[in-house]
Amino acid sequence: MQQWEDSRLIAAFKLKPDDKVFEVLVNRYQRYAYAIALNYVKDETDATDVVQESFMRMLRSLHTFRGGSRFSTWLYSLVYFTSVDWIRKNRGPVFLQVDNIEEHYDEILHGEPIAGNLDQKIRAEYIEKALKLISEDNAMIIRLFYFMDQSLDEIGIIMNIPGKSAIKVRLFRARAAMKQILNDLLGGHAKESL
Amino acid sequence: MNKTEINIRNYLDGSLSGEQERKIALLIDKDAAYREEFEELIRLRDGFDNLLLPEAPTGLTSKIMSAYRVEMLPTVFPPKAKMENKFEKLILNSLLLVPLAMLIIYGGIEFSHANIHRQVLSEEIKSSWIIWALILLNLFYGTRLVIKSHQFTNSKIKIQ
Repeated sequence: MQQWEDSRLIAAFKLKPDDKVFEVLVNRYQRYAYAIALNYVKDETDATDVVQESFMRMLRSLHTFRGGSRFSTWLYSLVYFTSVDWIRKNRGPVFLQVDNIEEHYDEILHGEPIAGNLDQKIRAEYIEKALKLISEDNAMIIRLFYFMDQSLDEIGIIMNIPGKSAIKVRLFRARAAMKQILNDLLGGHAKESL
Repeated sequence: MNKTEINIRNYLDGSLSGEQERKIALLIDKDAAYREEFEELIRLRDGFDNLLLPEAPTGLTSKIMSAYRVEMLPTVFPPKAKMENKFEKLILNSLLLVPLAMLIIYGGIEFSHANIHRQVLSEEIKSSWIIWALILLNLFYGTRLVIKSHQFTNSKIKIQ
């Protein structure tokens, strides 16, 4: 069962709800769901609550899933909207956070400039740091595109952004913001280091 | 963002047509500026590849599965209980309606004799075993329904 494809697991679950089938889906996607939730709610405990609620929403509406998109895309969109709902409920109205890199200059310049080639682990740490400095939505687009193997169309479905070109523009902007931050973080050695 | 970067990003994202893709591949091969930009973006992409997603906390699976079990109780079992409920309601209703209809019909005979105060139920009804059987059945199903609904509520409370 661990090797079953999502579509087979879902078909089996729809036919006869089974703990084991559900657990396979949870184990397969909880890490991704957690990453999405943590991207928005920031706190680890709150992120686990959001993930749990997302899986319950998935369970309640699984009968509506017709396979029009990948199951992962559908689930990530549930996690995304559950995260947004959580923020709205706990922090009031949701405002679109913009990349304000200047605001983070102290933080960026706090570390010593890096010279020479970075090993992969350190490079990844810097990228993670840069992801935290760009807006939540831009970080989300990058995470979905690079880490969760979602296409531009699928990102549009997950984040409810109509039009492929709109996603493309946002992905470009997110990467440009990342690049600027990394250039600042790596003190002019970005080209050699990245 | 310059045009070279946009073209290469589109190339790496796989969002170009076959012809455009070949054009950019050729430019990367021949043009030094394109090649330099391409290599830089590849390094950035590799950086993303090495980035690990945060580990989900231990115990998240069991937390979700506990919520699942609570969630599934009312959704898996109740539809059946609901169906039984509906079925029983139908029986109950028919059991109530049939004797009521018979009472009206037979009672109507008595009523036409203007004997309503002294003898609402005719002797025929009083001695009809069908009526009494229906009333008893009615009582039986009603009691069963009440007991079952109590059992279901108790099991729900226990699990929660």
